[in-house]
Amino acid sequence: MVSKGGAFGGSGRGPALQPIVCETVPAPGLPDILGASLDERTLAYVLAARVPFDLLRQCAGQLAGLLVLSASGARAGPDHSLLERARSVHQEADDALRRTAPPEPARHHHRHLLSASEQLRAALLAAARHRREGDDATIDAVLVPLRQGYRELQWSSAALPGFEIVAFEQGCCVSHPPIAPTGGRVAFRGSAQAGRAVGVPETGRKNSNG
Amino acid sequence: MADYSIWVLEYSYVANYHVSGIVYGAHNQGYRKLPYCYVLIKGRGINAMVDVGYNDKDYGGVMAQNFGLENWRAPRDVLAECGITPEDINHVFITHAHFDHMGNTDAFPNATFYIQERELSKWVWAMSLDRKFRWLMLATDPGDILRAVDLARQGRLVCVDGDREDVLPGIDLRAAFDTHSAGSMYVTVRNNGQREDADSWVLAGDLVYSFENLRGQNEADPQYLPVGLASGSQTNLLLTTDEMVRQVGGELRRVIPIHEAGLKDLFPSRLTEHGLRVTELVLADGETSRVR
Repeated sequence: MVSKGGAFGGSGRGPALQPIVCETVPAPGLPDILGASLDERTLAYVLAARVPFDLLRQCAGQLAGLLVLSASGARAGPDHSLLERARSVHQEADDALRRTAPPEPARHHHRHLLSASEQLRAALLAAARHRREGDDATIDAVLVPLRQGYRELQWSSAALPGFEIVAFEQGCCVSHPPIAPTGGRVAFRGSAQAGRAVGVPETGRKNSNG
Repeated sequence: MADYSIWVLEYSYVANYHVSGIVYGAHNQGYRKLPYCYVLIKGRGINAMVDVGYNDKDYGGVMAQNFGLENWRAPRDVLAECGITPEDINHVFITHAHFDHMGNTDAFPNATFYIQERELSKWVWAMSLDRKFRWLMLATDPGDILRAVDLARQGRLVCVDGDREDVLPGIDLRAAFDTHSAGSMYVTVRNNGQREDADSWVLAGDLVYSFENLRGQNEADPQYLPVGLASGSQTNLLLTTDEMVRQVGGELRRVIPIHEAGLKDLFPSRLTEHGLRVTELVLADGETSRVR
């Protein structure tokens, strides 16, 4: 495919991706991974893709944070090591995504993640330039792909359960649904699938953190 | 003579919130309502808010479906109960960068926003850590930070470095570092404009959720109790609690926990037609009551 310029292409990492444009989020509500009836292969994909999704979100957050400190004239301006860390996080996510083969029901989701990764790659390149040149004009060069990358993450978040932009389950002010004890097995509540447990120790006693 | 009117405005709530989130260690003490509120400060030509609530457009459905939040109303509806529009708001103090305090900056096109620089810089630092430390990023939305970039480019974001007295006349910002979050702050309104003011109010953000955090669960032998979650130090949190209490001369009811359902028992209030509460802490001279 011929790259469209700007956000895609030129990476030398395979065919450039066509931009995916979806309906504006939000979805009516994220599907609950604990209750969703995912087939085994899609569930396996979700479990594999959560880490690169989190890493991409982390990268987006790091870039946004560095930009806001720079744009606001804060004393703690962009630091070379922090930008390097964002780049490293992105690389780790991108490598993981390209190793992941999505089943059919997950391909749309996977394309959003790949698009997010490409956008964040462009944002990282622009951020390095901004750091060298330090002028406001280069902030836009970072913001445009960064915003699009974040949007792709939001769309991926709505496409399959288990991908939350904000870690609400650790939030201070939200009501957390209880997790049933499993009698020693680790399992998702309400799911016949064994998988990564959430807060249930091997003894089967309910986690006591309220 | 009071310079400012202050209202606590409920915009959503969790009907059944576990008490252990409100009071650290209060396990198995059941559930109670947790209001979600922001504060309106009005007077001297100023319309200011403390925090702006969460971004219903991006994840209201998630909050409602999975995390118990109900009855969210937009700032336009909520502020209208006090005769104010979002466009009238000219200053916003963001106590900390959690999603339910910083999520709705877009709704206020004419406001200048104030946040502790440390809140942002430590968040950036936390994100640079290994994935095992991702708990430190809880409840923060990269989208909120992206919106803050726009604010900064428009000259509408002020990164505060520690305490700032008289950020507006009679209004102080007080740093509360490494408490509920790395760069939290609270707002003191000295309503007579005096440095030592008997008519002071502290708007505490998430440093306290309830009056129980200020006096404990045995009023005969009071103690400070921390809230159920802090990414900083609970010790610092208690020391800050004491500082807030001293700022109001020990009059606990003047340290305002915006998640406290019992504000209605201490201050005049009413339920709106949307089933949300407007609580009136104090009226400036000549201001009209919004609850009576």
